[in-house]
Amino acid sequence: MEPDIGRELYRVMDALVALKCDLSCDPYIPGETLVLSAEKSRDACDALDTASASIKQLAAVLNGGEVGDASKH
Amino acid sequence: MQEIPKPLQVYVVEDSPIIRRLLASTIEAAGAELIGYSANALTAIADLGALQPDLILIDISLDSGSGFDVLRALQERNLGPSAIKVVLTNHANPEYQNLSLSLGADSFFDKASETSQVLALISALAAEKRRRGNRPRDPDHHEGNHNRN
Repeated sequence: MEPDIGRELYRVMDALVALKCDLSCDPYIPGETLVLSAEKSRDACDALDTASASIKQLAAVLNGGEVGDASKH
Repeated sequence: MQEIPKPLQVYVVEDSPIIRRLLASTIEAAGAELIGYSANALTAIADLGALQPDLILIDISLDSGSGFDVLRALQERNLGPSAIKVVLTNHANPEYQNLSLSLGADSFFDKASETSQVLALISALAAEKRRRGNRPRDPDHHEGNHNRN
């Protein structure tokens, strides 16, 4: 079944928004200070995974082929 | 005996698991309580009929139904009349904003560019609730960015 392109795009946007919020930190924290918790790091990775998977689906649809069809690259 | 004030109670209507998790972690970090969530309008309306959250965060695009259905039901059935209703959506256009506000939303935010403001609002409302204890909400006197123009 082909993915709904609009829905996939919104999924990418949601993932990027979450990633931005997870990675944002107080501007007054010194640059060399590590502030991202393991939980936030995992959430950020999940957001990247979701965005990547959605972009892959979209690319496949826009190329008119199946997901992972190397001949379309 | 002095009553222990309840934390800010929040209900989330959102179909994106990633955004739900982001909101949930902010709610927890703010010392508020996530009392429920739903990815569809019907479940949200049923839940909100039973729960009395202080704050309802509502996405417009849902797995089934829409955030407008939720707002309309809240308005028509007078559910959660004192709850602060905040819309957070990717469909941030004037038409949707006006419709949301006419259906009783207190604020309307663009998910792409204003999510961090919603997170700040959650923290501010949680702090305000702690400060004010269990006194009823004064709708014209709470902190945060409210886009009701």
